Amino acid sequence: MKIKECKRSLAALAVLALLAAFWGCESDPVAPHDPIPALTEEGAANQAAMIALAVNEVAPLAVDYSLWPAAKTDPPYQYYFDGSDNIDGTVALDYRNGSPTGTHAAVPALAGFVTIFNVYPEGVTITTPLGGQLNITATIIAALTHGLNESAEILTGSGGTLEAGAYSAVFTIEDLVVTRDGWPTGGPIVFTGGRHEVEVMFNGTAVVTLSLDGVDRWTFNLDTLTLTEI
Amino acid sequence: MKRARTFFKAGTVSVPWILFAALALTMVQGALAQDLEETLSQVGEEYAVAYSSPFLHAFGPSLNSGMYHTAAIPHTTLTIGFAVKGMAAKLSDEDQTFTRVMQVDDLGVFDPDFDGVEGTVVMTGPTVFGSDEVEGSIIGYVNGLPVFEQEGLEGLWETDFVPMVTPELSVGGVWGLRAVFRYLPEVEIEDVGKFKYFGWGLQWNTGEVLKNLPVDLMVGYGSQKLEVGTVLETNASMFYVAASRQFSILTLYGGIGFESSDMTVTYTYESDDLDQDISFEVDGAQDSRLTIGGTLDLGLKLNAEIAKGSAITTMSAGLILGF
Repeated sequence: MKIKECKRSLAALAVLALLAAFWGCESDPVAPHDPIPALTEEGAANQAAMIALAVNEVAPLAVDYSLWPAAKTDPPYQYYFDGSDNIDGTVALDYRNGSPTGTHAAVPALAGFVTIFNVYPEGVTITTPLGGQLNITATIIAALTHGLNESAEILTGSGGTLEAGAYSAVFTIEDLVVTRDGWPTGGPIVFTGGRHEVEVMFNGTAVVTLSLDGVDRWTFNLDTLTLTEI
Repeated sequence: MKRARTFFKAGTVSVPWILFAALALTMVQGALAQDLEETLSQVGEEYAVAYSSPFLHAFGPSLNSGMYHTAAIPHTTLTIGFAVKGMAAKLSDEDQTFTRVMQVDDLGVFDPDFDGVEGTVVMTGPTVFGSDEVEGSIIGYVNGLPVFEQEGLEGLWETDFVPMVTPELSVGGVWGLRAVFRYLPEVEIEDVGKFKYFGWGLQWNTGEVLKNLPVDLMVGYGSQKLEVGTVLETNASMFYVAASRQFSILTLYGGIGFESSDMTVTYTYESDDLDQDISFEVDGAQDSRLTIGGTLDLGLKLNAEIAKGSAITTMSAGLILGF
């Protein structure tokens, strides 16, 4: 009798253990979770070109002192892009004396350095040539030169991110010189998206060169917004 | 005979309650179907299939749950039972969101501005059982750049269970056979149509053929059909083998089942240009299951079971009145 009861108890315990084991079983996912297609070389070039476009619009603010009042007691200054020239959003400019982290400059036109950064987390919105939109956040640190050669040289440590729907990328900027009215010179902007690294070089004209793995592959016209394979 | 009288006394109180519960559930399920139709009318077929996939794949396995609570069927004594069975498919956490990617030759299908342009479309967002505070999106890409973005859908009901309740009638006890019926009265649901549900099953205890086994053994088959107007039609069926053994007031049971299900969804896509009738059929994700459970006989029987399926884990519990 005791053996029989013992067997029954064991059977009940076995079923309970199975129940417990089943309880922990996860169902397989049935909703689709397709992978996002890898960014193509041309896709990377297109995204890098959009960064070049944004930098060309934002960086010259650093040396356009006519935008700001002669003296401002509560820096930083803010500039709003209203959507014309394919860019929408607000950036802030923080002018400093002596170093990028020095004391606030009372007058931008006398500052030694400027840091430009996005005011809102989404950064600025770029409208692409075909009408879509992407977002770029960035911090641009520049050394200012005054006098006849009024310009700003973007320093190492500058860079940001790009969010283009399901794609995201990062970029750095260095040795790029901008003036108030002309096209930038120098660079590079180094774009890293997916498995690709694209370098963008400026030459003082509207046409920038994009290289992949050290080979010049495309040009991008900042004026007409066209990407052309070399 | 005395037990039978007791049952019918209880039954006069309980059967209306069962029907009331079932009708209430009919309304809930109908309302969900109505919401689903209204929601899907905002999107095309590809988005609709991906968005509703957890519902499409899990509802059939849920229907196929709770088909039995013992393998013991008398061979010479008539038995009748009324039951309310509740079932739920447990979804994976990943089923609250989806991502559907398509390479298309003509983006103009999504946005006329891109007629004839080749590109990629990424649809992503919550599924029907995902967050109702997050909106999905449909983004078209050409060479890595987004070219258009359209709003997708929010979740309808944030949950990781797909529940269902049904009343069940069983009649058996002759030659080891038992017939099972699941039925809900037809209910007219505004703007959707009639809600109809009917299921049947047949079970056979092998006691006359396979004697002196330590457990009761049976084989069975069940088929069910649920329709919600012209919006939704689900068919589910399962063949199964089950064994049970009674220990005093507790019966432990288990079984293996081979099943199939499908769901057809029909709706009108109300796009900017013109309305488009859309209909698609999706097969259930599951083809087999292993079930274990227990039934407690306290005069009124209570059962609970869990089934690990080839794709979906389902749970079921029932309240059974019978003799």
